Amino acid sequence: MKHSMYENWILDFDTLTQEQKAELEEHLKACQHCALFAEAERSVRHLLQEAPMAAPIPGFRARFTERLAAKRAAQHKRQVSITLALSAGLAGLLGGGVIVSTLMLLLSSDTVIFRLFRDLFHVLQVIVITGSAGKALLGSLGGIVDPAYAYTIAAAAVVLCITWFASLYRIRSIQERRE
Amino acid sequence: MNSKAREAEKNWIEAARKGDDDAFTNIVDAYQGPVFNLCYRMLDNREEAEDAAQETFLKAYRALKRYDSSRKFVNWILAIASNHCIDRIRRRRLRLLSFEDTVPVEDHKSKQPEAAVYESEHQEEIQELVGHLDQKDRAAVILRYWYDMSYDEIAGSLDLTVSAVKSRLHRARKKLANHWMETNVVENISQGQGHETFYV
Repeated sequence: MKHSMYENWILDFDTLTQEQKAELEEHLKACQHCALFAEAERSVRHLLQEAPMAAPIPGFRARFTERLAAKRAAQHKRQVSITLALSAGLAGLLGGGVIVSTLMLLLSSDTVIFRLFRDLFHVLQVIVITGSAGKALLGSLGGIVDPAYAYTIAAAAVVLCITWFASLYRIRSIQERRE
Repeated sequence: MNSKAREAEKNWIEAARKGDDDAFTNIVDAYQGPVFNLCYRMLDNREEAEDAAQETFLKAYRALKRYDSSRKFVNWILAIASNHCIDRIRRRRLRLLSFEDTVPVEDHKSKQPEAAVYESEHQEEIQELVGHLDQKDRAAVILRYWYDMSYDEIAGSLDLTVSAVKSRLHRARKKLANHWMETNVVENISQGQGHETFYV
């Protein structure tokens, strides 16, 4: 217990009062453990203060430039992939919209299938608008948000939209049945 | 750092923020030593330290727009390096726990000549010592002794309070002194040098 107190005093020597310093000096003369601890603390401090700086092998700057270029190329590739995927998705949605609207024109307005296509078309319209807004947002955040996070956020937003519209569709169907 | 060097550093940072890569590589040139040394002291492996130092500069490059110029640039970049190394050590431990991989062991025989020159017995002794500390204590000790950082600066770099830094440094120094004492006692006993006079 006493050793521990004097060890702490050795470590915080600069903050001690004159009386404490004198008491510590007296204790060090009598206690071999604390004297050894004081010596060890001095040795460690000296070793750390005198330790040289380790240097990297020459060419660090050139290796950094190469790595930066490689990272940039990878980032560019990712951005192109995202743009292509979003464009393909939007094209698919637009194509689907065109097919649905054509079918709507061909079918009679009182059939169940017509109503289904009409609602689906509305859902698709909202998805297309949301997708375009999302793409614009991702474009403006490019370089700030990590692409992995951007993918996750976009996927979560799409799932939420689908769930939302599915719920709306169900509510509307129930209301229609009631009417 | 004199006022001329500080002015040059400020200009490089401004230019790098505007997308000038050459300006940023000047920063890399200026700080590769301190950053590499910190990574090496933290990770105790030259190859891993090189990789960590390179990653530190890449992180700094990406985060340069968020750099607060009222803070010393060297402290900012060393903070990035410390936190990166702390994360690496954590991941290294997780890998060890999962038994999927092992910690890279220094192969002293295959080291490059430059490394062999400075990695003397003295260096190994230091690395062996700081290797006994947990990652945050190790970072605090390195920032204090190699970079003369104040408690405030260390707290800012490691996202700790000043009292936590003081407490960590106190604990770390105690641990290092105890380890030093134990090692020397064992060495002296094994060499038959008056072990009766040493506390065990």
